[in-house]
Amino acid sequence: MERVGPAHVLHDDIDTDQIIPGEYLNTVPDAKLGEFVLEGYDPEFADQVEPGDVIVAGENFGLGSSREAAPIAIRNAGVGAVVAESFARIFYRNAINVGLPIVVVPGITDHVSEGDEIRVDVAEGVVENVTTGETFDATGLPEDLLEILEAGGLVEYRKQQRA
Amino acid sequence: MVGGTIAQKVLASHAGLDDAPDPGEHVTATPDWILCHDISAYSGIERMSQLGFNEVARPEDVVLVFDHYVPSPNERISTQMNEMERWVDEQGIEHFFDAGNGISHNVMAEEGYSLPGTLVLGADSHTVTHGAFGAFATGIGHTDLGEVLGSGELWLRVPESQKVVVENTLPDGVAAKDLALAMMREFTTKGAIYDSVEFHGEGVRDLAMHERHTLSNITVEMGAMAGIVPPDDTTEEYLDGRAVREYEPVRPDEDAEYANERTVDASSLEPLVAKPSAVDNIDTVANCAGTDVDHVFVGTCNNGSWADIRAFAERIEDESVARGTDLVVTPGTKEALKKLNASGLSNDIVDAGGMIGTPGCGSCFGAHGGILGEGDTCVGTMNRNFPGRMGPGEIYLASPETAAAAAIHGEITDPREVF
Repeated sequence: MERVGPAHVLHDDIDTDQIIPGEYLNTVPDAKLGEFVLEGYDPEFADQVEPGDVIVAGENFGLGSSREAAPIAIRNAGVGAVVAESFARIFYRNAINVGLPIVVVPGITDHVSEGDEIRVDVAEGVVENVTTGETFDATGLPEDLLEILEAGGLVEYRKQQRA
Repeated sequence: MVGGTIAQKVLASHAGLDDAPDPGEHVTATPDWILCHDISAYSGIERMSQLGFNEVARPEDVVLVFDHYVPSPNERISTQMNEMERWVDEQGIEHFFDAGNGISHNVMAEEGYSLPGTLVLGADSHTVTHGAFGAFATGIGHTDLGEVLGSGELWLRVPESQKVVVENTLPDGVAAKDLALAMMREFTTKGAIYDSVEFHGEGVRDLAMHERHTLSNITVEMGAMAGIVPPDDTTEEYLDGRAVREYEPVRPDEDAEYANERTVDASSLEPLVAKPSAVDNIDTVANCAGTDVDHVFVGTCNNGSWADIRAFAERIEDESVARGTDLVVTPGTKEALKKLNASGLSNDIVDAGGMIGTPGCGSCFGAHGGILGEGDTCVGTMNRNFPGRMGPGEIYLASPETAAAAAIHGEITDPREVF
Protein backbone atom coordinates (compact mmCIF):
# COMPACT_ATOMS: atom_id res chain seq x y z
CA MET A 1 0.00 0.00 0.00
CA GLU A 2 1.97 2.96 -1.33
CA ARG A 3 0.88 6.58 -1.53
CA VAL A 4 2.83 9.41 -3.16
CA GLY A 5 1.89 13.07 -3.10
CA PRO A 6 2.78 16.57 -2.01
CA ALA A 7 2.78 17.33 1.71
CA HIS A 8 0.57 19.60 3.73
CA VAL A 9 2.46 20.18 6.96
CA LEU A 10 0.38 20.72 10.12
CA HIS A 11 1.49 21.44 13.67
CA ASP A 12 0.90 19.49 16.92
CA ASP A 13 -2.50 18.97 18.51
CA ILE A 14 -4.79 19.23 15.47
CA ASP A 15 -8.09 18.30 17.12
CA THR A 16 -11.20 16.70 15.69
CA ASP A 17 -13.17 19.96 15.95
CA GLN A 18 -10.65 21.54 13.60
CA ILE A 19 -10.79 18.53 11.28
CA ILE A 20 -14.59 18.58 11.09
CA PRO A 21 -16.53 21.12 13.21
CA GLY A 22 -19.45 19.86 15.30
CA GLU A 23 -22.04 21.68 13.20
CA TYR A 24 -21.50 19.17 10.34
CA LEU A 25 -22.06 16.04 12.40
CA ASN A 26 -25.21 14.19 11.35
CA THR A 27 -26.20 17.20 9.25
CA VAL A 28 -23.99 16.51 6.23
CA PRO A 29 -23.83 13.12 4.43
CA ASP A 30 -20.49 11.29 4.73
CA ALA A 31 -19.90 11.73 1.00
CA LYS A 32 -19.84 15.51 1.41
CA LEU A 33 -17.69 15.70 4.55
CA GLY A 34 -14.52 16.13 2.48
CA GLU A 35 -15.76 19.53 1.36
CA PHE A 36 -15.33 20.81 4.91
CA VAL A 37 -12.12 19.02 5.84
CA LEU A 38 -9.93 20.92 8.32
CA GLU A 39 -12.24 23.93 8.09
CA GLY A 40 -11.61 24.72 11.74
CA TYR A 41 -7.86 24.79 11.07
CA ASP A 42 -7.92 26.69 7.79
CA PRO A 43 -11.17 27.49 5.93
CA GLU A 44 -9.25 27.36 2.61
CA PHE A 45 -7.76 23.92 3.21
CA ALA A 46 -10.55 21.96 1.51
CA ASP A 47 -10.12 24.03 -1.67
CA GLN A 48 -6.36 23.55 -1.68
CA VAL A 49 -6.16 19.82 -1.00
CA GLU A 50 -5.91 17.57 -4.07
CA PRO A 51 -6.55 13.84 -4.36
CA GLY A 52 -3.38 11.97 -3.42
CA ASP A 53 -1.96 14.70 -1.19
CA VAL A 54 -0.30 13.60 2.04
CA ILE A 55 -0.87 15.23 5.43
CA VAL A 56 2.27 15.44 7.57
CA ALA A 57 1.43 16.41 11.12
CA GLY A 58 3.01 16.86 14.52
CA GLU A 59 2.11 15.08 17.73
CA ASN A 60 -1.31 13.98 18.92
CA PHE A 61 -3.09 14.31 15.58
CA GLY A 62 -6.85 13.89 15.95
CA LEU A 63 -7.18 14.54 19.66
CA GLY A 64 -10.61 15.18 21.06
CA SER A 65 -13.92 13.76 19.98
CA SER A 66 -14.76 10.17 19.07
CA ARG A 67 -16.40 11.47 15.89
CA GLU A 68 -15.59 9.16 13.00
CA ALA A 69 -16.49 12.01 10.66
CA ALA A 70 -12.94 13.31 11.22
CA PRO A 71 -10.99 10.55 9.40
CA ILE A 72 -13.88 10.17 6.92
CA ALA A 73 -13.59 13.85 6.00
CA ILE A 74 -9.85 13.45 5.38
CA ARG A 75 -10.34 10.24 3.40
CA ASN A 76 -13.18 11.70 1.34
CA ALA A 77 -11.15 14.80 0.53
CA GLY A 78 -8.86 12.36 -1.28
CA VAL A 79 -5.91 12.58 1.11
CA GLY A 80 -3.71 9.56 0.41
CA ALA A 81 -2.20 9.15 3.86
CA VAL A 82 -1.54 10.91 7.13
CA VAL A 83 1.98 10.75 8.56
CA ALA A 84 2.09 12.09 12.12
CA GLU A 85 4.54 12.16 14.99
CA SER A 86 1.78 10.56 17.09
CA PHE A 87 -1.98 10.05 16.86
CA ALA A 88 -4.72 10.39 19.45
CA ARG A 89 -6.04 6.96 20.42
CA ILE A 90 -9.62 7.10 19.18
CA PHE A 91 -8.63 8.82 15.92
CA TYR A 92 -6.04 6.07 15.30
CA ARG A 93 -8.67 3.33 15.61
CA ASN A 94 -11.22 5.28 13.58
CA ALA A 95 -8.72 5.91 10.78
CA ILE A 96 -8.01 2.19 10.39
CA ASN A 97 -11.71 1.36 10.62
CA VAL A 98 -12.61 3.78 7.81
CA GLY A 99 -9.58 2.87 5.67
CA LEU A 100 -7.52 6.05 6.00
CA PRO A 101 -3.82 5.07 5.76
CA ILE A 102 -1.83 6.38 8.75
CA VAL A 103 1.74 5.93 9.90
CA VAL A 104 3.74 7.25 12.83
CA VAL A 105 7.15 8.85 12.33
CA PRO A 106 8.50 10.67 15.40
CA GLY A 107 10.03 14.04 14.50
CA ILE A 108 8.82 13.97 10.87
CA THR A 109 7.73 17.63 10.76
CA ASP A 110 11.36 18.74 11.14
CA HIS A 111 12.18 16.99 7.88
CA VAL A 112 9.31 17.99 5.60
CA SER A 113 8.44 21.35 4.05
CA GLU A 114 5.07 22.31 2.61
CA GLY A 115 4.75 20.82 -0.88
CA ASP A 116 7.58 18.28 -0.58
CA GLU A 117 6.82 15.06 -2.45
CA ILE A 118 6.20 12.32 0.12
CA ARG A 119 6.10 8.56 -0.45
CA VAL A 120 4.36 6.49 2.19
CA ASP A 121 4.55 2.70 2.26
CA VAL A 122 2.23 1.65 5.04
CA ALA A 123 2.90 -2.07 4.80
CA GLU A 124 6.68 -1.68 4.76
CA GLY A 125 6.61 1.05 7.40
CA VAL A 126 8.67 3.48 5.34
CA VAL A 127 8.20 7.17 4.60
CA GLU A 128 10.40 8.94 2.06
CA ASN A 129 10.73 12.64 1.45
CA VAL A 130 11.29 12.28 -2.29
CA THR A 131 12.17 15.98 -2.59
CA THR A 132 15.06 15.80 -0.11
CA GLY A 133 15.89 12.12 -0.52
CA GLU A 134 15.56 11.39 3.21
CA THR A 135 13.87 8.18 4.32
CA PHE A 136 12.34 7.39 7.69
CA ASP A 137 11.33 4.22 9.48
CA ALA A 138 7.68 4.41 10.39
CA THR A 139 5.99 2.55 13.19
CA GLY A 140 4.07 0.06 11.08
CA LEU A 141 0.69 -1.41 11.85
CA PRO A 142 0.30 -4.88 13.38
CA GLU A 143 -0.62 -7.46 10.75
CA ASP A 144 -4.27 -7.71 11.80
CA LEU A 145 -4.81 -3.96 11.53
CA LEU A 146 -2.91 -3.75 8.26
CA GLU A 147 -5.30 -6.30 6.76
CA ILE A 148 -8.26 -4.13 7.76
CA LEU A 149 -6.63 -1.03 6.31
CA GLU A 150 -5.68 -2.75 3.07
CA ALA A 151 -9.26 -3.91 2.62
CA GLY A 152 -10.38 -0.28 2.85
CA GLY A 153 -11.65 -0.38 6.43
CA LEU A 154 -13.52 -2.74 8.71
CA VAL A 155 -16.77 -2.72 6.70
CA GLU A 156 -14.96 -3.66 3.47
CA TYR A 157 -12.84 -6.21 5.33
CA ARG A 158 -15.97 -7.94 6.57
CA LYS A 159 -17.51 -7.90 3.10
CA GLN A 160 -14.39 -9.63 1.74
CA GLN A 161 -14.54 -12.19 4.56
CA ARG A 162 -18.18 -12.95 3.78
CA ALA A 163 -17.64 -13.15 0.00
CA MET B 1 3.13 -13.71 38.80
CA VAL B 2 3.35 -9.96 38.45
CA GLY B 3 0.25 -8.16 39.64
CA GLY B 4 -1.87 -5.81 37.64
CA THR B 5 -3.07 -2.24 37.56
CA ILE B 6 -6.82 -1.65 37.62
CA ALA B 7 -6.75 -1.34 33.82
CA GLN B 8 -4.97 -4.67 33.36
CA LYS B 9 -7.20 -6.48 35.86
CA VAL B 10 -10.49 -5.21 34.46
CA LEU B 11 -9.42 -6.02 30.90
CA ALA B 12 -8.28 -9.48 32.00
CA SER B 13 -11.58 -10.28 33.67
CA HIS B 14 -13.55 -9.11 30.61
CA ALA B 15 -11.36 -10.98 28.15
CA GLY B 16 -11.56 -14.29 30.02
CA LEU B 17 -7.91 -14.21 31.07
CA ASP B 18 -6.58 -15.52 34.38
CA ASP B 19 -3.48 -13.35 34.34
CA ALA B 20 -3.14 -9.65 33.75
CA PRO B 21 -2.21 -9.05 30.09
CA ASP B 22 0.90 -7.00 29.34
CA PRO B 23 0.67 -3.42 28.10
CA GLY B 24 0.64 -3.41 24.31
CA GLU B 25 -1.14 -6.76 24.01
CA HIS B 26 -4.41 -6.86 22.12
CA VAL B 27 -7.28 -8.55 23.94
CA THR B 28 -10.84 -9.20 22.84
CA ALA B 29 -13.10 -8.00 25.61
CA THR B 30 -16.81 -8.14 26.39
CA PRO B 31 -18.05 -4.88 27.94
CA ASP B 32 -20.64 -4.57 30.69
CA TRP B 33 -22.11 -1.49 29.08
CA ILE B 34 -22.09 -0.21 25.52
CA LEU B 35 -22.89 3.49 25.70
CA CYS B 36 -24.01 5.59 22.75
CA HIS B 37 -25.80 8.87 22.11
CA ASP B 38 -27.79 10.52 19.37
CA ILE B 39 -24.77 11.32 17.19
CA SER B 40 -22.89 8.07 17.59
CA ALA B 41 -25.87 5.70 17.65
CA TYR B 42 -27.18 7.02 14.35
CA SER B 43 -23.90 6.21 12.60
CA GLY B 44 -23.25 3.12 14.73
CA ILE B 45 -26.55 1.50 13.72
CA GLU B 46 -25.68 2.00 10.06
CA ARG B 47 -22.20 0.52 10.60
CA MET B 48 -23.64 -2.47 12.46
CA SER B 49 -25.71 -3.33 9.44
CA GLN B 50 -22.81 -2.69 7.01
CA LEU B 51 -20.64 -5.02 9.11
CA GLY B 52 -23.20 -7.75 8.53
CA PHE B 53 -25.06 -7.80 11.84
CA ASN B 54 -28.84 -7.79 11.93
CA GLU B 55 -29.30 -7.73 15.67
CA VAL B 56 -27.67 -6.27 18.74
CA ALA B 57 -25.85 -9.09 20.48
CA ARG B 58 -26.83 -8.09 24.03
CA PRO B 59 -29.52 -5.39 24.05
CA GLU B 60 -29.68 -5.52 27.87
CA ASP B 61 -26.17 -4.02 28.02
CA VAL B 62 -26.79 -1.10 25.66
CA VAL B 63 -27.36 2.38 27.10
CA LEU B 64 -28.58 5.01 24.63
CA VAL B 65 -29.00 8.63 25.71
CA PHE B 66 -30.20 11.47 23.47
CA ASP B 67 -28.03 14.34 24.62
CA HIS B 68 -26.19 16.18 21.86
CA TYR B 69 -29.14 17.51 19.83
CA VAL B 70 -31.82 18.23 22.43
CA PRO B 71 -34.29 19.67 21.82
CA SER B 72 -33.85 18.81 18.15
CA PRO B 73 -32.55 21.82 16.24
CA ASN B 74 -33.92 20.83 12.83
CA GLU B 75 -35.99 18.43 10.76
CA ARG B 76 -33.05 16.28 9.70
CA ILE B 77 -32.06 15.54 13.31
CA SER B 78 -35.70 14.94 14.31
CA THR B 79 -36.03 12.34 11.56
CA GLN B 80 -32.83 10.63 12.74
CA MET B 81 -34.14 10.56 16.30
CA ASN B 82 -37.39 8.98 15.10
CA GLU B 83 -35.39 6.29 13.29
CA MET B 84 -33.32 5.62 16.41
CA GLU B 85 -36.43 5.35 18.57
CA ARG B 86 -37.83 2.73 16.19
CA TRP B 87 -34.52 0.85 16.35
CA VAL B 88 -34.56 0.92 20.16
CA ASP B 89 -37.99 -0.71 20.12
CA GLU B 90 -37.07 -3.27 17.45
CA GLN B 91 -33.91 -4.31 19.27
CA GLY B 92 -35.52 -4.43 22.71
CA ILE B 93 -33.17 -1.87 24.26
CA GLU B 94 -34.50 -0.96 27.67
CA HIS B 95 -31.83 1.44 28.89
CA PHE B 96 -32.98 4.26 26.63
CA PHE B 97 -33.02 7.86 27.87
CA ASP B 98 -34.75 10.16 25.43
CA ALA B 99 -34.38 13.92 24.99
CA GLY B 100 -34.46 15.86 28.23
CA ASN B 101 -32.93 13.23 30.51
CA GLY B 102 -29.50 14.81 30.36
CA ILE B 103 -25.91 14.11 29.35
CA SER B 104 -25.07 10.42 28.92
CA HIS B 105 -22.19 10.34 31.40
CA ASN B 106 -24.07 12.29 34.05
CA VAL B 107 -27.20 10.16 33.59
CA MET B 108 -25.19 6.94 33.93
CA ALA B 109 -23.47 8.20 37.06
CA GLU B 110 -26.65 9.43 38.68
CA GLU B 111 -28.74 6.39 37.76
CA GLY B 112 -26.22 3.91 39.15
CA TYR B 113 -24.85 2.47 35.88
CA SER B 114 -21.25 3.58 36.55
CA LEU B 115 -19.87 0.74 38.64
CA PRO B 116 -16.48 -0.41 39.96
CA GLY B 117 -14.71 -3.19 38.11
CA THR B 118 -16.87 -2.87 35.01
CA LEU B 119 -15.82 -2.33 31.41
CA VAL B 120 -17.65 0.50 29.68
CA LEU B 121 -17.17 1.07 25.95
CA GLY B 122 -18.82 4.29 24.91
CA ALA B 123 -19.07 6.00 21.55
CA ASP B 124 -18.15 9.32 23.09
CA SER B 125 -14.65 10.41 23.99
CA HIS B 126 -15.67 11.45 27.51
CA THR B 127 -16.62 7.89 28.39
CA VAL B 128 -13.45 7.97 30.52
CA THR B 129 -15.65 9.74 33.09
CA HIS B 130 -16.88 6.42 34.50
CA GLY B 131 -13.37 5.76 35.75
CA ALA B 132 -14.38 7.99 38.67
CA PHE B 133 -16.43 5.03 39.88
CA GLY B 134 -13.64 2.49 39.43
CA ALA B 135 -14.69 1.33 35.96
CA PHE B 136 -12.37 0.87 33.00
CA ALA B 137 -14.22 3.14 30.62
CA THR B 138 -13.02 4.31 27.24
CA GLY B 139 -14.25 6.02 24.10
CA ILE B 140 -14.69 4.32 20.73
CA GLY B 141 -15.75 5.47 17.26
CA HIS B 142 -18.78 4.62 15.18
CA THR B 143 -17.46 1.57 13.32
CA ASP B 144 -16.24 0.15 16.63
CA LEU B 145 -19.69 0.87 18.04
CA GLY B 146 -21.30 -1.05 15.18
CA GLU B 147 -18.87 -3.91 15.78
CA VAL B 148 -19.46 -4.14 19.53
CA LEU B 149 -23.23 -3.75 19.18
CA GLY B 150 -23.33 -6.58 16.67
CA SER B 151 -20.71 -8.96 18.01
CA GLY B 152 -20.84 -8.06 21.70
CA GLU B 153 -17.05 -7.74 21.89
CA LEU B 154 -14.18 -5.57 20.69
CA TRP B 155 -10.40 -5.78 20.46
CA LEU B 156 -8.59 -3.42 22.82
CA ARG B 157 -4.94 -2.64 23.28
CA VAL B 158 -3.92 -3.03 26.90
CA PRO B 159 -2.59 0.34 28.06
CA GLU B 160 0.40 1.25 30.15
CA SER B 161 -0.71 2.78 33.45
CA GLN B 162 0.55 6.00 34.97
CA LYS B 163 0.12 6.52 38.69
CA VAL B 164 -0.66 9.93 40.13
CA VAL B 165 -0.51 10.47 43.86
CA VAL B 166 -2.33 13.58 45.04
CA GLU B 167 -0.92 14.46 48.44
CA ASN B 168 -2.84 16.54 51.00
CA THR B 169 -6.23 18.07 50.28
CA LEU B 170 -7.55 21.05 48.34
CA PRO B 171 -7.59 24.36 50.22
CA ASP B 172 -10.82 26.32 50.69
CA GLY B 173 -11.89 28.12 47.53
CA VAL B 174 -10.11 25.64 45.26
CA ALA B 175 -12.36 23.24 43.35
CA ALA B 176 -11.98 19.76 41.87
CA LYS B 177 -11.92 21.47 38.46
CA ASP B 178 -8.80 23.31 39.56
CA LEU B 179 -7.23 19.96 40.44
CA ALA B 180 -8.28 18.63 37.02
CA LEU B 181 -6.66 21.64 35.33
CA ALA B 182 -3.55 21.15 37.46
CA MET B 183 -3.43 17.59 36.09
CA MET B 184 -3.61 19.01 32.56
CA ARG B 185 -0.67 21.27 33.39
CA GLU B 186 1.20 18.24 34.73
CA PHE B 187 0.46 15.90 31.82
CA THR B 188 -0.23 18.26 28.86
CA THR B 189 -2.44 17.09 25.99
CA LYS B 190 0.17 14.49 25.00
CA GLY B 191 1.24 13.16 28.38
CA ALA B 192 -0.93 10.07 28.53
CA ILE B 193 -1.67 9.06 24.93
CA TYR B 194 -3.08 5.51 25.04
CA ASP B 195 -2.31 5.18 28.77
CA SER B 196 -4.55 4.58 31.74
CA VAL B 197 -4.11 7.11 34.53
CA GLU B 198 -4.71 5.82 38.06
CA PHE B 199 -5.41 8.40 40.77
CA HIS B 200 -4.23 7.77 44.31
CA GLY B 201 -3.57 9.68 47.51
CA GLU B 202 -5.39 11.61 50.19
CA GLY B 203 -6.28 14.43 47.81
CA VAL B 204 -8.29 12.01 45.64
CA ARG B 205 -9.80 9.96 48.49
CA ASP B 206 -11.04 13.24 49.95
CA LEU B 207 -13.04 14.07 46.81
CA ALA B 208 -16.81 13.51 46.60
CA MET B 209 -18.05 11.41 43.69
CA HIS B 210 -19.07 14.42 41.57
CA GLU B 211 -15.57 15.83 42.08
CA ARG B 212 -13.94 12.56 41.00
CA HIS B 213 -16.27 12.69 37.97
CA THR B 214 -14.73 16.06 37.00
CA LEU B 215 -11.23 14.63 37.42
CA SER B 216 -11.70 11.42 35.42
CA ASN B 217 -13.61 13.28 32.72
CA ILE B 218 -10.59 15.48 31.88
CA THR B 219 -8.21 12.55 31.35
CA VAL B 220 -9.14 12.07 27.70
CA GLU B 221 -7.77 15.57 27.15
CA MET B 222 -4.38 14.16 28.23
CA GLY B 223 -4.80 11.51 25.56
CA ALA B 224 -5.64 8.84 28.13
CA MET B 225 -7.54 5.66 27.32
CA ALA B 226 -8.93 5.66 30.88
CA GLY B 227 -8.70 7.72 34.06
CA ILE B 228 -9.45 5.57 37.07
CA VAL B 229 -10.05 6.30 40.75
CA PRO B 230 -9.75 3.13 42.87
CA PRO B 231 -13.12 2.45 44.50
CA ASP B 232 -13.31 3.11 48.25
CA ASP B 233 -15.88 3.79 50.99
CA THR B 234 -17.01 7.01 49.28
CA THR B 235 -17.75 4.99 46.13
CA GLU B 236 -19.61 2.31 48.07
CA GLU B 237 -21.71 4.86 49.94
CA TYR B 238 -22.62 6.61 46.71
CA LEU B 239 -23.67 3.36 45.07
CA ASP B 240 -25.60 2.01 48.03
CA GLY B 241 -29.22 1.84 46.90
CA ARG B 242 -28.28 3.30 43.51
CA ALA B 243 -26.31 0.58 41.68
CA VAL B 244 -28.46 -1.01 38.98
CA ARG B 245 -26.38 -4.20 39.03
CA GLU B 246 -24.14 -6.15 41.33
CA TYR B 247 -20.47 -5.41 40.84
CA GLU B 248 -17.05 -6.58 41.95
CA PRO B 249 -14.69 -3.74 42.91
CA VAL B 250 -11.21 -4.02 41.41
CA ARG B 251 -8.18 -2.48 43.06
CA PRO B 252 -4.59 -2.53 41.86
CA ASP B 253 -2.26 -5.26 43.12
CA GLU B 254 0.53 -4.27 45.49
CA ASP B 255 3.13 -5.20 42.88
CA ALA B 256 1.37 -3.60 39.93
CA GLU B 257 3.79 -2.01 37.48
CA TYR B 258 3.37 1.59 36.41
CA ALA B 259 5.05 3.35 33.50
CA ASN B 260 5.77 6.20 35.88
CA GLU B 261 4.56 7.90 39.04
CA ARG B 262 3.85 11.58 39.62
CA THR B 263 3.07 13.46 42.81
CA VAL B 264 0.87 16.53 43.04
CA ASP B 265 0.46 18.57 46.24
CA ALA B 266 -3.23 19.54 46.39
CA SER B 267 -2.63 21.99 49.22
CA SER B 268 -0.48 24.18 46.96
CA LEU B 269 -3.15 24.67 44.29
CA GLU B 270 -5.13 27.81 43.52
CA PRO B 271 -7.99 28.59 41.09
CA LEU B 272 -6.85 27.88 37.53
CA VAL B 273 -8.07 28.34 33.97
CA ALA B 274 -7.15 26.74 30.67
CA LYS B 275 -6.65 29.72 28.37
CA PRO B 276 -7.54 29.73 24.67
CA SER B 277 -7.19 27.50 22.79
CA ALA B 278 -5.65 24.38 24.33
CA VAL B 279 -6.73 22.41 27.37
CA ASP B 280 -3.16 22.40 28.69
CA ASN B 281 -2.68 26.17 28.32
CA ILE B 282 -3.00 26.55 32.09
CA ASP B 283 -2.66 29.75 34.05
CA THR B 284 -3.90 31.01 37.39
CA VAL B 285 -7.20 32.87 37.56
CA ALA B 286 -5.29 35.63 39.36
CA ASN B 287 -2.99 36.12 36.35
CA CYS B 288 -5.97 36.39 33.99
CA ALA B 289 -8.02 38.71 36.21
CA GLY B 290 -9.56 41.60 34.34
CA THR B 291 -10.05 39.75 31.01
CA ASP B 292 -13.45 40.78 29.56
CA VAL B 293 -16.03 37.99 29.48
CA ASP B 294 -18.95 38.04 26.99
CA HIS B 295 -20.40 34.64 27.75
CA VAL B 296 -20.49 32.34 30.77
CA PHE B 297 -21.51 28.72 30.30
CA VAL B 298 -22.09 26.34 33.21
CA GLY B 299 -22.81 22.67 32.70
CA THR B 300 -21.44 19.83 30.50
CA CYS B 301 -20.21 16.34 31.35
CA ASN B 302 -17.31 17.93 33.23
CA ASN B 303 -19.15 20.17 35.71
CA GLY B 304 -22.85 19.50 35.19
CA SER B 305 -23.77 17.60 38.34
CA TRP B 306 -26.34 18.95 40.78
CA ALA B 307 -23.53 19.80 43.23
CA ASP B 308 -21.67 21.72 40.51
CA ILE B 309 -24.74 23.64 39.39
CA ARG B 310 -25.61 24.40 43.01
CA ALA B 311 -22.06 25.64 43.71
CA PHE B 312 -22.53 28.10 40.86
CA ALA B 313 -26.14 29.06 41.55
CA GLU B 314 -25.63 29.75 45.24
CA ARG B 315 -22.99 32.27 44.30
CA ILE B 316 -25.17 34.03 41.71
CA GLU B 317 -28.11 34.26 44.16
CA ASP B 318 -29.02 37.92 44.88
CA GLU B 319 -26.44 39.05 42.33
CA SER B 320 -26.75 40.30 38.75
CA VAL B 321 -24.98 39.09 35.65
CA ALA B 322 -22.81 41.89 34.33
CA ARG B 323 -24.22 43.98 31.48
CA GLY B 324 -22.91 42.68 28.16
CA THR B 325 -22.32 39.17 29.51
CA ASP B 326 -24.62 36.27 28.59
CA LEU B 327 -25.11 33.46 31.07
CA VAL B 328 -26.27 29.99 30.05
CA VAL B 329 -26.69 27.34 32.75
CA THR B 330 -27.38 23.79 31.57
CA PRO B 331 -27.89 21.19 34.29
CA GLY B 332 -26.32 17.85 33.43
CA THR B 333 -29.44 15.82 34.14
CA LYS B 334 -33.18 16.10 34.55
CA GLU B 335 -32.73 15.39 38.27
CA ALA B 336 -30.26 18.26 38.59
CA LEU B 337 -32.76 20.57 36.86
CA LYS B 338 -35.57 19.45 39.16
CA LYS B 339 -33.42 20.09 42.22
CA LEU B 340 -32.48 23.49 40.83
CA ASN B 341 -36.18 24.26 40.49
CA ALA B 342 -37.17 22.82 43.87
CA SER B 343 -34.46 24.79 45.65
CA GLY B 344 -35.58 28.03 44.03
CA LEU B 345 -32.11 28.53 42.59
CA SER B 346 -33.40 28.41 39.00
CA ASN B 347 -35.39 31.57 39.73
CA ASP B 348 -32.27 33.14 41.18
CA ILE B 349 -30.35 32.38 37.97
CA VAL B 350 -33.13 33.87 35.83
CA ASP B 351 -33.52 36.89 38.11
CA ALA B 352 -29.79 37.49 37.91
CA GLY B 353 -30.15 37.67 34.12
CA GLY B 354 -29.19 34.11 33.18
CA MET B 355 -30.79 31.50 30.91
CA ILE B 356 -31.39 27.85 31.74
CA GLY B 357 -30.83 25.29 28.99
CA THR B 358 -32.27 21.83 28.44
CA PRO B 359 -30.17 19.12 30.13
CA GLY B 360 -27.79 17.92 27.44
CA CYS B 361 -24.59 18.76 25.66
CA GLY B 362 -26.04 22.10 24.54
CA SER B 363 -23.55 24.48 23.03
CA CYS B 364 -20.45 22.67 24.31
CA PHE B 365 -19.83 20.88 21.02
CA GLY B 366 -20.73 23.86 18.89
CA ALA B 367 -23.90 22.80 17.15
CA HIS B 368 -26.67 24.83 18.79
CA GLY B 369 -27.89 26.65 21.88
CA GLY B 370 -25.38 29.38 22.69
CA ILE B 371 -22.74 29.67 20.00
CA LEU B 372 -19.99 32.29 20.36
CA GLY B 373 -19.55 35.09 17.85
CA GLU B 374 -16.33 36.45 16.38
CA GLY B 375 -14.33 38.11 19.16
CA ASP B 376 -16.45 36.68 21.98
CA THR B 377 -14.73 35.44 25.12
CA CYS B 378 -16.37 32.64 27.09
CA VAL B 379 -15.68 31.34 30.57
CA GLY B 380 -17.08 27.83 30.66
CA THR B 381 -17.04 24.83 32.95
CA MET B 382 -16.55 22.40 30.08
CA ASN B 383 -13.47 20.36 29.19
CA ARG B 384 -12.55 21.65 25.73
CA ASN B 385 -11.51 25.06 24.43
CA PHE B 386 -10.35 23.91 20.99
CA PRO B 387 -10.25 26.61 18.31
CA GLY B 388 -13.76 27.08 16.92
CA ARG B 389 -15.30 24.55 19.29
CA MET B 390 -18.30 26.78 20.19
CA GLY B 391 -18.02 29.06 17.19
CA PRO B 392 -15.31 31.58 16.42
CA GLY B 393 -14.98 32.98 19.98
CA GLU B 394 -12.37 31.99 22.55
CA ILE B 395 -12.92 29.80 25.62
CA TYR B 396 -11.42 29.80 29.10
CA LEU B 397 -12.08 26.59 31.03
CA ALA B 398 -12.80 27.12 34.72
CA SER B 399 -14.62 25.86 37.82
CA PRO B 400 -18.27 26.73 38.58
CA GLU B 401 -17.01 29.09 41.29
CA THR B 402 -14.73 30.95 38.87
CA ALA B 403 -17.60 31.04 36.34
CA ALA B 404 -19.86 32.67 38.96
CA ALA B 405 -17.30 35.37 39.72
CA ALA B 406 -16.88 36.02 35.97
CA ALA B 407 -20.64 36.23 35.39
CA ILE B 408 -21.13 38.79 38.16
CA HIS B 409 -18.16 40.97 37.22
CA GLY B 410 -18.11 40.53 33.44
CA GLU B 411 -14.42 39.80 33.64
CA ILE B 412 -12.23 37.00 34.92
CA THR B 413 -12.13 37.34 38.68
CA ASP B 414 -10.54 35.24 41.43
CA PRO B 415 -13.49 33.61 43.21
CA ARG B 416 -11.59 33.67 46.50
CA GLU B 417 -11.77 37.46 46.44
CA VAL B 418 -15.52 37.49 45.82
CA PHE B 419 -17.02 34.67 47.82
